[in-house]
Amino acid sequence: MRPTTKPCQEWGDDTVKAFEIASENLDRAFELIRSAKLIAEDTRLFLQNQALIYAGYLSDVLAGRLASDPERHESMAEMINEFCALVTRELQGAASSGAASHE
Amino acid sequence: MNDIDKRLTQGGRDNFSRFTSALNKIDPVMFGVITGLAFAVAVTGPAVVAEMAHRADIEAMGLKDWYIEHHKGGTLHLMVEAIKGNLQSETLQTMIRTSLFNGVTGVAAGLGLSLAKQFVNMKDEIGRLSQDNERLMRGEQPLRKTEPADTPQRDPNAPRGATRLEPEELAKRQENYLSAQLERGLRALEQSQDSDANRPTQRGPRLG
Repeated sequence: MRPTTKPCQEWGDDTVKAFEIASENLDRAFELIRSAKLIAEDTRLFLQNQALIYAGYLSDVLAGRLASDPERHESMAEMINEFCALVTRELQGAASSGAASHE
Repeated sequence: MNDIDKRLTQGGRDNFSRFTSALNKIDPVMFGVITGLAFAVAVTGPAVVAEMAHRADIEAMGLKDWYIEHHKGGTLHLMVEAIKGNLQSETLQTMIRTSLFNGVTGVAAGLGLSLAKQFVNMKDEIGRLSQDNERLMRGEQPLRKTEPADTPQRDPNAPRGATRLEPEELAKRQENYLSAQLERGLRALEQSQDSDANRPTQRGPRLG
């Protein structure tokens, strides 16, 4: 997911960078969700829709459409990263153990 | 549901609750729209419901009109662009298409939650505006008036309805209406689905 317009001009480089990192993490998390074989379809849908909402939010923030305190937005980027970490931990871990059991 | 599903669902739900709580403080209207979509696919959580304190404000201000006025090219625009296939990222495109399609059909199925109801109302309003748009483009008056009964008297000689605007300006405005955007997007989605599926589009019960 790459922003299609300029980031919010009033924010510092660190804030913008935090959101770009969150976007990259979300991209990877979504690929994991989409390709996961060990989760139920309901869970996949649940996670995909959450990822969409985070993506929509990131897109609006990076395009400068949501003006607010940068610190508040940074804390939300952190929540998105936590979501990505949860997905990565569970799905990559499951994939690794699944691969090991096949060997 | 296995252990991974449970951990992902619970963890995701907790995370989403905190996210929406924070988002509500930044942008109550965007919060209303996206949690409406989320509820439509049964993302529920007590914290989310508790954060709906601004719901009455959103409804009072008129969700759609306010959103068009202040969020031109915002999240809804993003969804429409995803349907039309105009986003640069294929991942984002897939995410949004998946969620929008599931979300809208979920809402249409008639969930009893207040947020879902709010979104259904918006859909109804969009449908009504779409009809009015078509009539305006044909030079006809809208079917129903939307002005409140206590609207001050107008100058009887002043131009009314679509005639207030120059044709170019009117066309430009109509192009930007949320209803027009959604209509274009949904039409594009139907076309892409038809071509992707490569099968007859007949739906509904088969008779005989």
